[in-house]
Amino acid sequence: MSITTNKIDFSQLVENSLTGIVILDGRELLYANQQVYNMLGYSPEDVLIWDQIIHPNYRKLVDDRIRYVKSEQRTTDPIEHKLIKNDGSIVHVETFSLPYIKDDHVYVQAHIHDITKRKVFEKEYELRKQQYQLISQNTSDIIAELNQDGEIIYVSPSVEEVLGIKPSFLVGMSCYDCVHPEDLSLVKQNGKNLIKTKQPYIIRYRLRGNNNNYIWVEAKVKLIESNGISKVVVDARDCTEQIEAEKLLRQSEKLAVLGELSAGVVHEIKNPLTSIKGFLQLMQAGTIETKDYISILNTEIEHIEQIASDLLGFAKPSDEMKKQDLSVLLDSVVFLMNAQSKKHNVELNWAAPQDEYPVLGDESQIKQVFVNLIKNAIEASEEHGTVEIHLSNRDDQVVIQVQDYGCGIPEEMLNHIGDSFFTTKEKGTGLGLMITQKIIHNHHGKINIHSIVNEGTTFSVILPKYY
Amino acid sequence: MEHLSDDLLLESYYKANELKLSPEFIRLIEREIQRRSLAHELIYLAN
Repeated sequence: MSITTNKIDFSQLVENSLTGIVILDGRELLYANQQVYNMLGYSPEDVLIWDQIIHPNYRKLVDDRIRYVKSEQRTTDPIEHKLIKNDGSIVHVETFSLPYIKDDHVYVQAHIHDITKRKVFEKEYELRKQQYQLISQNTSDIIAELNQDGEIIYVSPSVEEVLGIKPSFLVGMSCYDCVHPEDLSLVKQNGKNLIKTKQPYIIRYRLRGNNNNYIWVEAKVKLIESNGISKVVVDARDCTEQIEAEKLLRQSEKLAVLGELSAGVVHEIKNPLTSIKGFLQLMQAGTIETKDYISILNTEIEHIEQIASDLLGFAKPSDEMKKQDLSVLLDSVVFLMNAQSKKHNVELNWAAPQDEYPVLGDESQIKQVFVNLIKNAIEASEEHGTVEIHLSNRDDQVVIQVQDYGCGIPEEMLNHIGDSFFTTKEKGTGLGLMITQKIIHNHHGKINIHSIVNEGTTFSVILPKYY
Repeated sequence: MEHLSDDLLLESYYKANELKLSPEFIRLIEREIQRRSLAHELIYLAN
């Protein structure tokens, strides 16, 4: 290299360097390159005075370092300090100094980098970091980022609070590894749909904590595109309390309905009791042949038994998702509702089909849905009206229709159906259909309403078939 | 009550009246007799 040095004008290199370079003799500024002028906002004809451009807070530090370089003839580590610009504003710089020896005299050369932008970024970064910590450490939502295969790329620290598992343990795992086995197929199905439809959705499922305990969460799931890559963002929240509250609400709505049904039910029980008592008295009097009447007594007792067990099956809170045959459930509900329909002089038209209509669900909750729909239909009907109850299979769904020929629902009210406390009935609570919709939603079904004023209303419940 | 033969139903009706059993019971039998359109079979008792 030394061969060519003669041919190169180093002063030009130094002058045009993007690093500010100064040469000092003590505190006297002998030379400053163009970059120093630019950095400090001086024009080339201005005279720079070292003491004026060093920020007063750093004068001593800078002086010490100049002396050190001079006396020890060694290079200093870079330090950050401030310079003052021509207009009085401040530039953040990083400087390192080294000796420059010429003719046995030790000068100091200082290389100065403008780090104002970096400082701004650092400040911004620090602020963002604090904000991020504020959010991530104080939220109880679990926020996770997944790739399209469901692998966890990022999960917020809150996961440790909710599940007791460290985020670093989860990164790289499949998000499906933490899902309750019973919820897995549903979660996977929804995940597949998301990639296909790109439609965000809300889903409830159970996540496994570190003690193998499960926690109910409600998760908002959506697809985001960044830099051409699709990622899945999951915002999951512990919803145990919400589920408890919903259960209580369901139960109290059911009890309110039970109260309304009770008059009809008692009536249904009273008739067979009167009949049993009467025939027993006839037997006691010895006036009739006992054996002729045994089967009558049996029938009446069975009738009472059936009502009692249907009522119990509806009233007792249950919390178990298992295979249910809708035809059997509907049969029992219709039997129970017969008492109510007789009271209103309305006929229930229901023929129990021979086929099986299997769905996955909670017996008591599904019955609650049908009781609500049939009760509404009876109340909407006029005297001597008919309510049709129809069950059918459609592809991989089961459809239940409850149709009345009553007053119908005006179009402007249809949208409010299912809002809490919305009712058109004088004594209604407005909770029945809200809970009905909630239950259907929990069973991953749909409810459609078709209504024409003065012609009648059809409620269709569509539930996924269970295999 | 629906499973009782017509004869037994009518007989029960007479006996129940004879023994002065509860009016509700008698009314239930009456309703069943009417449902089966057997009212013409009844020989009304003097009392």
